[in-house]
Amino acid sequence: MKLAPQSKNEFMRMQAVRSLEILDTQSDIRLDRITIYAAQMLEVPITTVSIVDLDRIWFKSAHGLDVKELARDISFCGHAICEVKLDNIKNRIFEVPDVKSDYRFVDNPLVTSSPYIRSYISYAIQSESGQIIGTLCALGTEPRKYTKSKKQILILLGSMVENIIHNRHHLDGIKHKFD
Amino acid sequence: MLDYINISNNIYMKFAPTPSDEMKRLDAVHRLGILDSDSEERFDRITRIAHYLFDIPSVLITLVDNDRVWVKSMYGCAAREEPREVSLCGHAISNKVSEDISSRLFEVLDAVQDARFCDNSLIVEKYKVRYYLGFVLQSNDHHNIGTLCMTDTRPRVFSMSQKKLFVDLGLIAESELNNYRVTSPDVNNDPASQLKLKSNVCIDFSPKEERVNEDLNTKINSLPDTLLSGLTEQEKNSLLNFLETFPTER
Repeated sequence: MKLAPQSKNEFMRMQAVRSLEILDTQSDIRLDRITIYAAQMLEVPITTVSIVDLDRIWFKSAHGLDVKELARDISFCGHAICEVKLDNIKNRIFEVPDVKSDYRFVDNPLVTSSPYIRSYISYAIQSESGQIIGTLCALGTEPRKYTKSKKQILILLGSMVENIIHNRHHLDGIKHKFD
Repeated sequence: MLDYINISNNIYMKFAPTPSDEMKRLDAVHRLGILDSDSEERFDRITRIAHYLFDIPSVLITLVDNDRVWVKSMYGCAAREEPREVSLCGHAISNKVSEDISSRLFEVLDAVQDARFCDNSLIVEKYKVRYYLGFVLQSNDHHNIGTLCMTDTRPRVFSMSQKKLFVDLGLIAESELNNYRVTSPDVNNDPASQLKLKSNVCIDFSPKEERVNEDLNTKINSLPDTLLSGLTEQEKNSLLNFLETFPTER
């Protein structure tokens, strides 16, 4: 297993996360609606809005998962935020269609024991200063290759999450974003 | 019919029993004319309210048909229908109910600890249901036709006053169900009036249909074309429905 690396500009990233003052806050019904709907549309048992803290992934919303946080180094999101680029919304997607054929995750405890994750897809959420602060992600228990339209839906829902986290209207600027 | 089925590892699961008025009950369900109809806001708002009011993941309005539990409205889950014999609603409607309205509540505090359901893979594994509260919905002639029910993935405890509110929502759902034939003119048993109504449908409903399309178009226009072009009709409708009911406040 390859532990999730630190991102290159971790100091700036952590400043962006902390300045949001979102960690360990109450749940938000709008984000819970989004994770429930994402699970339904992407047909997966687990979906989360994850905030990547210094050493943990904290879930602002989690559907199908009982825990509130996970260690960052064994997390998928920890990898995702180091792999994606923010230049284009499509590049914000990080996808692992089958964890069994990816050396980074093959012996990850989330894979080898409950909840037995087999596939992962996420959309990176950025701060207003352009740092990646977390993800909207979907975890499947079967190998999955998502269609273009499912990815588009994930991008839309992820953009809504980003708006909500930054106290904007949930559909703010979404049309512009896709064009 | 056998009440119990022997599963390979010697664990017994109790099937939902058949109510004594089953023939008349089924007749009442079918007479509603609602089975396999599309989702409707007047039912969806009830499941939505319950979801937020009781802070519970899944809420459903179900009808118990001959061999299936059919879902008219759901909030927080994707079930459309499930086999009756392994369903919690099948158990709920087979309970004898009395004049006392609270006898229409069927509660499972923790399915994992309940001998009737602990080895029911649909409930415990697929839907991960631990808690279930169902309110039995009755037809006008007092047959148990279905339920308003809610489930959680962890055990829950509700107070008497919360359960009273749940009963209130159940009674709203019940009157919507029993008014179905009155408010939906294309549902009628009489072939002659059915024909008459069908021809009316073309005249009466076309302006409304146009209106609906107009609303739909406005919403579609607020979304990116590149997103919508790739979606199936079903995905598009589901997405628009999701956005339409999306809360604007936390």
